[in-house]
Amino acid sequence: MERPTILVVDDELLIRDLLYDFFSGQGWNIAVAEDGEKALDLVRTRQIDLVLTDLKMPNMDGMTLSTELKGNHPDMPIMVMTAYPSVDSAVQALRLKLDDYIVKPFNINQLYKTVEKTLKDKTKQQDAS
Amino acid sequence: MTSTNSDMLRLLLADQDHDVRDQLEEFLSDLGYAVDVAHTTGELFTMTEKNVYRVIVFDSNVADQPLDTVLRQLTALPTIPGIIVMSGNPKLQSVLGAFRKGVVDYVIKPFDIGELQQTVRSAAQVSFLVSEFMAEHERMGDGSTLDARTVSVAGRVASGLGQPTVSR
Repeated sequence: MERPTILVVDDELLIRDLLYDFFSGQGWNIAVAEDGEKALDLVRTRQIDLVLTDLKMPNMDGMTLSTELKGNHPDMPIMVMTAYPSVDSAVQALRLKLDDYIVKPFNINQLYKTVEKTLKDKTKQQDAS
Repeated sequence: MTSTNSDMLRLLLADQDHDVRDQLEEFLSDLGYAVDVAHTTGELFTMTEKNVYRVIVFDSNVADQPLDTVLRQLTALPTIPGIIVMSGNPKLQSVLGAFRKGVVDYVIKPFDIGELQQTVRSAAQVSFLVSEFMAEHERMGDGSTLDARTVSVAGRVASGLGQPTVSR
């Protein structure tokens, strides 16, 4: 895959900056958005290869964003992250066929490996279809 | 797409609660599934060695081993059955473990039987589509081995199930 573009969606500037700096350093293109509505705007205008979104955000939360994205981009890998994990939201993510559910605080190296694997899995699936 | 008519599908059901087990066995049989019943994890594994199941529905209460271990074994089966986990006492780590092993659904008891019917149908569909994906991967012949996570991702994407398994 050419340099993939990851969209990081989180209302916390610290998280957006952390992931932007780290993932950029790994050679990925990174787009950022502070809520679901802005994320949808970006998805409409740019080629996005994976969305990594927080769940609890103002304006549009991560689960609503994920539902919208699945409706229009069913093949797009989506990973959610949250500092407030719950059985209900984990089951909801499973049922939406999301790609992972990350509990904050996360280990950034592990997160990177998980995102990288998800991108590779997507490529394999595209090659096989 | 391979037919998923319920009268062609073999389903394995495991639950220690005999009332739930009996009710589900009757319900799923009436829908046309060929239902086998296991009472323990041991029976679950023995039956999957003998028969090909497209769908496995089991309550975590039969798992006398860690759920992760049970799922690892079930997702390694050659036919990649669609797996539905049920629980009356769900724990977050169990749900996440099941999620990452690629189960089709995690059903919290008490559940709506009509929704379970839809979930079982989805599980069968995923199983067939993942089998097709695996077959295509072999035809491509790159020699690589697909791990359970890759297969589960393929199942989710290939099924086109961008919509929720169960409507909320």
